[in-house]
Amino acid sequence: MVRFRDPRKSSRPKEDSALDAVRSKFAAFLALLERHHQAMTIISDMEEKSQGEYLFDLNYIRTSVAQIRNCVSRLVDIMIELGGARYQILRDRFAEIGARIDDSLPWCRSTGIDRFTLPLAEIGREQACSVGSKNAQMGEMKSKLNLPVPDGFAITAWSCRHFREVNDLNDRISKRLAAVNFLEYDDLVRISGEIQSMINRAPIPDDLAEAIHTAYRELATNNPGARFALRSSALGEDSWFSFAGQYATFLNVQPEKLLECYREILASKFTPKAIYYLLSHSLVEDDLAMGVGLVEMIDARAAGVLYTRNPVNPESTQLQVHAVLGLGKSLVDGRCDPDVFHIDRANMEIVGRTTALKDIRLVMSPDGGTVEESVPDEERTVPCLTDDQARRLAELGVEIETHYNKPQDIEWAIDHDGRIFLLQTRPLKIVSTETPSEPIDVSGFEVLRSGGVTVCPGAAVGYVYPVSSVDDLPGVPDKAILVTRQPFPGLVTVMGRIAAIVTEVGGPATHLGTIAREYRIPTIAGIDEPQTLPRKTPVTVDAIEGAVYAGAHPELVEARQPDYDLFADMDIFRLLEDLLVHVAPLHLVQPADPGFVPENCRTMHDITRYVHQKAIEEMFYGGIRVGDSTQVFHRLKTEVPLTVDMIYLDRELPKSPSRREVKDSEIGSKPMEQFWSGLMSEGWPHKSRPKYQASFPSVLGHKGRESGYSENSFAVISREYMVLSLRMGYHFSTVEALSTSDSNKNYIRFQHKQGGASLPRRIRRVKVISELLSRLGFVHQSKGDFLSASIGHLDGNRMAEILHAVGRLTVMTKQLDMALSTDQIADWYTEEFAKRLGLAAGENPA
Amino acid sequence: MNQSILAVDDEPHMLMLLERIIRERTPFELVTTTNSLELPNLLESRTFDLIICDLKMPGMDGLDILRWIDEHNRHEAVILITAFGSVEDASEARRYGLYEYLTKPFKKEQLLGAIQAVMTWQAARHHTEAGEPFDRDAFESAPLHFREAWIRRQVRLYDDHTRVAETTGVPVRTVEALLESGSEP
Repeated sequence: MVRFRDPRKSSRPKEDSALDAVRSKFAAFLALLERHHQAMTIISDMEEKSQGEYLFDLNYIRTSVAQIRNCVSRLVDIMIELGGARYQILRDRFAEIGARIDDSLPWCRSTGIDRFTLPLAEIGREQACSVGSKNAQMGEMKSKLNLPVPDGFAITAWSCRHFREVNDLNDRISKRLAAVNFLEYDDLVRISGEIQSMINRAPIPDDLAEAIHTAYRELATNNPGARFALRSSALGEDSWFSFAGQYATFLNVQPEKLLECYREILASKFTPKAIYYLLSHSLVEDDLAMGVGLVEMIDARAAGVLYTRNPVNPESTQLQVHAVLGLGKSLVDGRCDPDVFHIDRANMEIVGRTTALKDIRLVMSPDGGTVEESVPDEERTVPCLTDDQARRLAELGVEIETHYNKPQDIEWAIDHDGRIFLLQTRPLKIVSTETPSEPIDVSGFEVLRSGGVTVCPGAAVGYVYPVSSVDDLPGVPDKAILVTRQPFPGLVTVMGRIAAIVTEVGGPATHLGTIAREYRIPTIAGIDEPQTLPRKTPVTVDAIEGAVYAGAHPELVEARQPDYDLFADMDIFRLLEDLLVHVAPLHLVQPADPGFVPENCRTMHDITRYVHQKAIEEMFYGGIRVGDSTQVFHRLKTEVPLTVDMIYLDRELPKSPSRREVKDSEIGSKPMEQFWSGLMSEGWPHKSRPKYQASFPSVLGHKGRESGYSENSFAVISREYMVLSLRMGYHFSTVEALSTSDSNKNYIRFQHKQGGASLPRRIRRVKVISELLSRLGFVHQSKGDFLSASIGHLDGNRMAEILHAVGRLTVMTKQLDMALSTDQIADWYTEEFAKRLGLAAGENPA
Repeated sequence: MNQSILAVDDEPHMLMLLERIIRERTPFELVTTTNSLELPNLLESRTFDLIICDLKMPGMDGLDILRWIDEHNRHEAVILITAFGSVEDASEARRYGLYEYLTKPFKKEQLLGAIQAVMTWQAARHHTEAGEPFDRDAFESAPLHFREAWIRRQVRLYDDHTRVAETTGVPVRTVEALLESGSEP
């Protein structure tokens, strides 16, 4: 990589203390520019990767986050070195943005010494690394939103670590793992068994046992007659992986069994799969610490799921409450048809409802387990929620969504006294697709079934294959239309090779629904007796209209094909997007805005932008505020409507302000003159300032070039060197060049970053410029919308030609902003400019 | 026959991305696992046209898989996914018949292109005599394609299988198989 170079070696002016000060400041300034370049490269690279063209892994995210942090941290250090203590506040901003990034990261830092137990009412989501995410989300709803959440307490990850430490378990497990040469899956199974029994034999230390019992007594006293469940609450990354296995859960735990059950949950973590994962990610046993929660069991009269958006139509203004009688498990398993309430988010009115026929329900048995029972006749056809209850749930849902600022998938229950409890909340997975709009005439089709509910949109043609249990699955042919009365576990194993799913029972709020949407398999529920659909001839499933037609209708499949984004719903892309919120957006645009202050830095990009601007001001004005007339720089006198302030590394500042203006024909810097002549020769477009959306309040306050130095461009130059930071509207270009008699030393470096337009347009613009630079001979390493290009080892004539061309190109491409709506237009401009620069295919470079 | 792919990656996220892109953008059958230790059993029970795996995995790593395939005289082509900076290991892998390696992060077109190249090559191999002349020559797939194209051109030019066989040094049956394998590349 070409680095910014210290030009002092090439220009040897006489020693002078004022100049020395300028030069030493310039050294810091250059270091800062170098970091700025790095930061822009990393940010743009992350943005580029988020666009869905690349495959990347967690390690990429890990590394990029570490890099941008190091880089921006260093930027802040240099800024403080350059401008003094008043920039200390940037450290606070940096720390705060860093903390928000930490919150978004799925991996946890070890939390160190902590309390053994924490009541849910004292927990917030920021404690996910200490108590696990399930406990943390319950605590968040209880403590921050004061919502009805079952009572309980968390046993922290620290307790788990303490237990292992006292029993020397980490060492013993490590030794066990190190001694085994894993060549067979059976080795993993064996070692997993050994480790689990090792853990189950270790005694719980007295202090921890005492803490757990105390917390239990308090909980039991506050909730007389209540029953409790002990369950795992996985930490960080673990909970984030949808593949993470199910650990042990104990229902209706009796106090005398509490410690034993706790230990068993800790041991259940060491599954063969977890051990494999541990080994493959060079994690230590300590990373397998886990949180555990003891939570009141709700003896539910009715329960279900609340989606704060329609998962297959996120544009809809309705939210959905799915409800069954008894415990909610029978809903997500797809064993019971739910009552569904569609509620308008704006006015909480129930705009649609379906009431299911209820045969069975899952209830708590006296021993605390669960048992299926048949529903009494009088309850079979009645909705399991009152309208008021449904509306109340909807209100709670909107409140939770507002708090998390993301659509939520919420589990709830209502007890026999009609009290609502919220059991869990997590981000709702939404099928991001454009709703197919092509109308298609189905009037001639023979309808076999209709009235089904969309679980996952789309359509498919195939042969019906009925299944009713796991035993039927091996026989499922590829591309089959799988039909079943109700979903059952194991269906996921054939998801990769079937064409569509049709069920009688179930709906969008089932596990099957979630998985079908993940695999994007057209799926409908609520179809009568799907097993009796004809098997000898093909059928067409329309999962948008909820119908099954006789015969093959590929034109319908074509018309119903959802326009899916390939990767948008994948966890790792969602993670990168969550992180980018704290990294990439630019909120500080106009330095003249009153809002251009460190307090408003909300992202790494903001800090980078702020520091870049302030570094220039420190360099040029020594931190003098706006309106101060003390000038420490020269100003370029030119017809082009750009204000360019210049500092000479080899020329003292004249005492008289009138002599500080420099004509653009007499700059006295070879590379700068060559660049500027190109810029002048192209002729400045009439519209001196591009028009931007008036939404930027600052635009109103601007009076063109008189508005102050924030609009200015800056150059640090000497006879043979230039670094020019050129500001045109929202675009920033940096041109750096060294032009000496030794062609081996010579180089030009060009960088460009812009704001304003949408990312695809910005990327197109960068492509236009980088293509032109390539034809000039530059090597470019562009990332996303950040362009960085360099060229070196040129003799004096060639330097002059290329700098001249870069000057022209700068003007040509200046106003492309909003024009580049398609790639074709971008290509057209590239060729047009290339022609003008004499770089069209077949021509020799200028 | 339906062509098939086995994808192995200990990082579930990468595996999920591979699964999504292969299922949605290729017609090939796909089997996935996060656990490389399952490989020997899997491979003893059936064959694949292509294995896509990470270079660094516990249990069997990418090199182990290549060695296994080599030792068992198998025809699975292998595409290795490597972290930035493990290019040296990748070049070691070439000794064992690596078809292609991709450095993370990589573009989806790179993967799809590599898959397509493997499948075209495997299809040609299925249609020729056991391994001749389209045997595994993983490092130099380009010359292979040129050679294949050249033989096809000869066939087109002369329309005389025996003569083409003589000119190219390829057995007559192979030339015929090539012709049957149908359309122009």
